[in-house]
Amino acid sequence: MLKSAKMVMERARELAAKRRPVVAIAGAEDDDVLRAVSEAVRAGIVGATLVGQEVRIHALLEELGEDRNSFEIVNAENPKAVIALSVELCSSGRAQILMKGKVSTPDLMKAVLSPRAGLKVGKLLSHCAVLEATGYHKLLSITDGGVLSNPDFNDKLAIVENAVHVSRVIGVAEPKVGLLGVMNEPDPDFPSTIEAAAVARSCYVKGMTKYIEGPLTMGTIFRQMPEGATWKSDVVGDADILVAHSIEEANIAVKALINLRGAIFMGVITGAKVPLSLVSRADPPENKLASLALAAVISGASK
Amino acid sequence: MTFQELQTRAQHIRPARMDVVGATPFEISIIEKWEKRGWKVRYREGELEHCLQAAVDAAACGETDLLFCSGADNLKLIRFLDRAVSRDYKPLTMLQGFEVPSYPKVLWVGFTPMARYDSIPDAIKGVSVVAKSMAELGEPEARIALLSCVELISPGVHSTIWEATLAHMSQRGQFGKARVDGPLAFDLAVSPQAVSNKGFKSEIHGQADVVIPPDLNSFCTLTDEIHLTGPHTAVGIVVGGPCPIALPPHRDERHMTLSLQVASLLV
Repeated sequence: MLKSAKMVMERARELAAKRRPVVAIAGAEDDDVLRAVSEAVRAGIVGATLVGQEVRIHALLEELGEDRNSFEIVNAENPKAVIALSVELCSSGRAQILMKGKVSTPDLMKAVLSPRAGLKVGKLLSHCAVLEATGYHKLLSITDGGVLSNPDFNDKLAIVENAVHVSRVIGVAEPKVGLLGVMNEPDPDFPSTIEAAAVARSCYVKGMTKYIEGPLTMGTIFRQMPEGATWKSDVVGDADILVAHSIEEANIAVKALINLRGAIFMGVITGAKVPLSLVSRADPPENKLASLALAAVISGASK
Repeated sequence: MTFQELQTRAQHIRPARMDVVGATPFEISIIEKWEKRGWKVRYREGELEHCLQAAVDAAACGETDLLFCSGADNLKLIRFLDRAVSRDYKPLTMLQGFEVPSYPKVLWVGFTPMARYDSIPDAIKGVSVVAKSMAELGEPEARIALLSCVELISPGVHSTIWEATLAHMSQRGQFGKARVDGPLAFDLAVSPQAVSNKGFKSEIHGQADVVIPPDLNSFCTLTDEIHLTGPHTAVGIVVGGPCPIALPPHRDERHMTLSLQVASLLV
């Protein structure tokens, strides 16, 4: 089991030694993304194909002091062509990871989900943040803080399925999943607790994982069984995945761990044939590199 | 604002009247120290909801100045309290303040648990109460960040709509001197580095005094996460009611005393 970002990085290197995955950068004329990819290429975990306006990409690489021969460059003059070519690289198997550069996120997602691209394998795309948080004994995934704004019951099942896949890739055979709630038991005053219980039960019945419970408060999941509890839990104190009720809850929980507690963040969008990497300008460089390493490990596992 | 500054100010507060509900023997032993300093304390014993109702009614009649609540988890307590107060005070607002090593000042997390934030009037009331409380605690120009998952207004993410409305109201001075901005992702609320990396312009500028999550789940998860993932000092109060209410997040002497001291500044 990979228990830290460093172990994810080492695993990505091991996999790359056998076959280095190629990242297709959609809209590579973005200095921030170029920096992150250059770092990953130097670290030996990925190769990169830069898609975008060749002249501008060359200029940026020069500005950043990067060797243009380390990259393959595919010229595309407008965003539509950039997205189409990047997706085509992934569909045809010439790239194994897709990374968003200077293109619109919804347009890129739309292209990935288009049946013509043939990249959609899961029920839907969802974001999974894998965190190395100080004081927690293993990697912790929080989902979905980046893609689905109003997930319904069925979306939640798919979110769990995607996150379980990521956990298995990092070596957790039977991931322990906690569905977050404001209390530990379903309460009609808080409809989110009812939904969490239903999702947990449904995922269990469908055999997604042996260990899934909800609703559970963050406090209970991190700490211990509540006083006077009449039930037993495999998830409390040992969760691998936390499924938030809303995109806001997951996003805030992840960013609080990063910004207040210095957690190392690896983020990836799963549910497609290739992992999607979206790094934010606000992410520190080590998190961008770690995110690409995670995408490389996922890509290596699906070969 | 630091807890040290607030504690120093609280030492100069004149003793007043306090109602205590649901306290354990340990909690009573701490409150007895306040009695020795001249506070007039009334201990209410019996069924919790009934005692809370009586204490809230006493506050509304001006018979008590501060309320200390215990006897159940905080979410349950604030539900009982919200039921107990008259319509004028609804919805009550919970404020938890944290000092963590990575943030240079107290970071308050505010929320109105019984409000429906898709109801703009509830949201306005919640933010107004927070702004007023911050002013009373010595921060009239508090930076209040309305949290979401993005900083762009997006019809698909409902919280961004009401948050943008409130930010606009703030620009027009409708929350006094408080600077309210949203929607903001958490990093843009608390990290000047993230703000600068993104080239984002906001009056909060990564130095929020208060962050307000968009829903109850986010509030509970965020506060639990800060409590459980590292060192911190925390304070819990409820504002917007007939009197300030101390609702300590931890039931040890340090956190109880601090919560009472901060609540006493609002008397």
